[in-house]
Amino acid sequence: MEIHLNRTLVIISLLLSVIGIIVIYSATRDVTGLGMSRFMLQSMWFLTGIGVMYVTSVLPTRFLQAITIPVFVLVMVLLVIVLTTETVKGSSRWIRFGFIGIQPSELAKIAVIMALALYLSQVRSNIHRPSVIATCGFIVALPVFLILSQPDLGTSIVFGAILCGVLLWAGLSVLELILMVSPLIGVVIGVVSGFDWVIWSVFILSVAGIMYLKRPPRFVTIFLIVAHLGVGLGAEPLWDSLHDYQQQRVETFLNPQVDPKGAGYQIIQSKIAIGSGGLTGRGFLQGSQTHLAFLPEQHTDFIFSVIAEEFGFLGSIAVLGLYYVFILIGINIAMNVKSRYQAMLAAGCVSVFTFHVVMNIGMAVGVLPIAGVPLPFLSYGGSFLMSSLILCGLLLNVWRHRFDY
Amino acid sequence: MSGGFSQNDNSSHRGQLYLFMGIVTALFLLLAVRLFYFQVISGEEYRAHSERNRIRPVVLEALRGLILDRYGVVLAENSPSYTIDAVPFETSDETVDYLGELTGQDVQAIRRRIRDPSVNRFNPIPVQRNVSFNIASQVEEHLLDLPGVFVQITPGRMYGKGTLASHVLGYVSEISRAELDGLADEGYRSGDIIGKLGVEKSFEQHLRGQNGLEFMEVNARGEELGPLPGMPVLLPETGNNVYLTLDTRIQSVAEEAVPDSLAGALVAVEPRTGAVIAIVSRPGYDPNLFTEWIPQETWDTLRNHPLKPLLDRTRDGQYPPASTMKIVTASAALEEDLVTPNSVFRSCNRGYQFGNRWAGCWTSGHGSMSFRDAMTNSCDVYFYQVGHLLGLDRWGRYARGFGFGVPSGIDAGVEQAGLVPDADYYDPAKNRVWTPGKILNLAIGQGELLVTPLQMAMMTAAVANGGVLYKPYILDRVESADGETVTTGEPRIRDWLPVSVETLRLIQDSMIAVVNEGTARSAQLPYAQLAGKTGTAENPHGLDHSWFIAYAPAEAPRIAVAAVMENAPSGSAVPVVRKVIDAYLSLENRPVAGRIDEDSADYAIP
Repeated sequence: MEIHLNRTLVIISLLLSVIGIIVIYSATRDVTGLGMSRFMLQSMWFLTGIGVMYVTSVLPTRFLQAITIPVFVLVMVLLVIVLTTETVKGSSRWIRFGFIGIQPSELAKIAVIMALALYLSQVRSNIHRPSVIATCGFIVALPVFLILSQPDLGTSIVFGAILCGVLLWAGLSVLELILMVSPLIGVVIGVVSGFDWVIWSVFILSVAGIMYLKRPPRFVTIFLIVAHLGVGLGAEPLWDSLHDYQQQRVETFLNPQVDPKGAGYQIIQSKIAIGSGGLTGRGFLQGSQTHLAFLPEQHTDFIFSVIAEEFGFLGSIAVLGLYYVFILIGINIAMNVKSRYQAMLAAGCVSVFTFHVVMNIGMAVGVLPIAGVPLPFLSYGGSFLMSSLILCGLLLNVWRHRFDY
Repeated sequence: MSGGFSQNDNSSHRGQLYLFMGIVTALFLLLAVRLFYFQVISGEEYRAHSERNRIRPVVLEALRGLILDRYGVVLAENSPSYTIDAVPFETSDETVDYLGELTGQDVQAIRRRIRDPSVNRFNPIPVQRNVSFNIASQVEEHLLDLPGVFVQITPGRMYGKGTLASHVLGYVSEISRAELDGLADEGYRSGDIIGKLGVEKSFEQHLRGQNGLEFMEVNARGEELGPLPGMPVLLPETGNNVYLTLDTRIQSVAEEAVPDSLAGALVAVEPRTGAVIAIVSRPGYDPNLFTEWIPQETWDTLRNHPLKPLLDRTRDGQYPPASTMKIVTASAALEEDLVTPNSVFRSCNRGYQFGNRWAGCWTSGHGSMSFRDAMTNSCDVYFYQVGHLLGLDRWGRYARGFGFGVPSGIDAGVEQAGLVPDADYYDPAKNRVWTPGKILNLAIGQGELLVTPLQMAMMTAAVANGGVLYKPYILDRVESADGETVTTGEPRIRDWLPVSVETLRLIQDSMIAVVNEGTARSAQLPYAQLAGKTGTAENPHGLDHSWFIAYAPAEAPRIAVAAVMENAPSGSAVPVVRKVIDAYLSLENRPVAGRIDEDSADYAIP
């Protein structure tokens, strides 16, 4: 059973990557002169990535711990350097090394998971102490700030997911996590409802209900009251002070339908592509909706739509199933290792995969906003494929070394 | 709930992890249900849809922005035209053959276009634009036999004033392979229209607008059933309107002033801004020819025409400036204290002995002359001597200081730099040998020296305005389709003439004298004082070229003009320039738009 967990993880990750390469070929072959090159590039990244994943999976745990701080510092430096590079389509995300470009924000996911795991496994103190949560928050806030400056909203949200996952494993309960993010939920509810005070009151009452049930420590209570008061009083004037185009951007993010030219159009295209796939799909390379539509990100963020169109419900449910099995194995690994460090490490990796998969497919089927979150193993992009394989390598590493402690 | 916050109880916390697992499972179930709904339940209907009918994205071409003169007179607009589109994926080779038969177009050309591996096979591309009503109806009638082909009404470009300002406007035509590769990210597709030359090209990004998109349902027989329900139509956005600084009235006067038998160029600018009022290259051509398929004969006629109508002489024509250059040579000599306004040189006795060379004057002898007389009568001998004193380096420095040898910096399109030779230019290895006698030719604007009419107009403007060398500009403003100003053209100072106010005053006075008592007496206007300078360029290939540069009114200049007539008798350019200045100054009630105060003569060198 133990060996099988790892073997299954490897098979699923390789299978998904290969499917990705095939679909990237289909999605890009009609784009001016780029089809073959993207297909080849992704293949090369994949072959390299297999090696890196293997190496990651065998590194001794002590070695991982020893390189955590240097890696974290190095990645932060790269995140600063990337801000000085020239912008591509409005943001600076790549650092060029010769002919390859890497996205430091992808490396940052790995570095943050390693740092959180190291920190939380070494503090003996209660996870509920303010200083512990504050330190975790700081570890995450630094890269998030730098990545938001690029700006890259999608990737920076991932770090919130990592933090939540790791804190859950460290001992916080699901409701406590919900309480923690409730001020943010308040902001979203406010903007979406147009600052309707009835809806707002219902929301605040439910938050108060959870607090009454959970009776959080005094500092948490104070923090939450202050945060909610701040949101309740400050959000609307702050919102009104934004420029029209800024408001529009946020509204489009939360509700793409309001912008039929940009994000909204992508959503509609994506839905049509998925819908026209039917039960069995239109066949490889035959997805005319995908090919004719204005779907500029079809080989990256919207690759799931291509799969759904060309391979139908059977194809898309199979891919969804592969992810589900992958994530369940990851959760199992994180639940069943003895060492706190390894559990944290696995929890962080699982959070990333869960977030990416749910967010991306949720976006493609139109239930979640478009945040520019790619699909692990499948989406085009060297850095992202590499980071996904390394994270998978970390999961393998944890399970392989589970008896070391 | 055994005290979630108090103590990290292992078994209860494990419950939280199972809860997490449950949440993840629920999320995946939600996604699966959503997929099932889309693909199997409502997908059923959609699938039937796509099997029976096709959905075709139809590009709604944006209206290209207008080109207007500064007062809003339309120079380029849109008119509806028929375009045959084809979806490569749906169009078989037989269809292509049949289409070629119907339209009379080369089948190979159509095939090359729609089988181009770099085009998106599922998107329709224009196969032939500007087809006649007859051909369009023929194709429309046979749509059943032409699966994948359809006819669209698209905006075509029309230049309502025919040849007027043709070189300025440029023209539009289908995007070329090379352009398409360079503009891959800008949303152009094969068969799109793009500005090729002139303003159409320079302000392409303002003019082009943004194409829209509509999804049409098409049945198996190729008939359009209408827009796909539930799909929003992405409406095209009209391009911005480009207002030029040109005044159409002056432009027409100028174009008509050049006799039909002559080739020539004229540039009129506002001396105090550098704004171009009229810019004429004759003969012109009709830019409407280029928007549709050009028959080879038409093309050949244009290209092989002895007067080269496609050449924009104002910026690509390079001529020796002849005596107009004496303004530069004289300024240099005054500025370098080589002559004073009253100094008299060796008398002009039909010519000048330099070493063993005899350099002739243009007339039978002017006698001993002062600076002013030499300018007024354009005495070559006087300037031979001045040139000799100056030497190549100093003379060249002033020539470049007056804006020659470097492009004038106009805001639209490319232009030639002309040529001001320097010591490096005379390289024996390149078969260009320097001899001291060459400065004599250069000093009177002959020899290797080459200038463009545009540069000459800007120099004239600089002399007129007190020494500011402007970059010429032709873009007055860009307005969006709903009238909001997007950007405006501004005067841009290029440099200041390297001369003092006193020197400039002397040059101005001598130019007034040229008109009042010298070689350009025929340019006089009864109501305004002109200042000018004639030139007759020796042309080794044929008859001389006639130059005239002028500005008016001399005391407060509002217009500066430079004109050159090719292979024309000395003085041919004078009446042309006179007509333009007369028209400009006599047009009453001109709307004043963005102009510097007319009455102030106080615009000295800062």
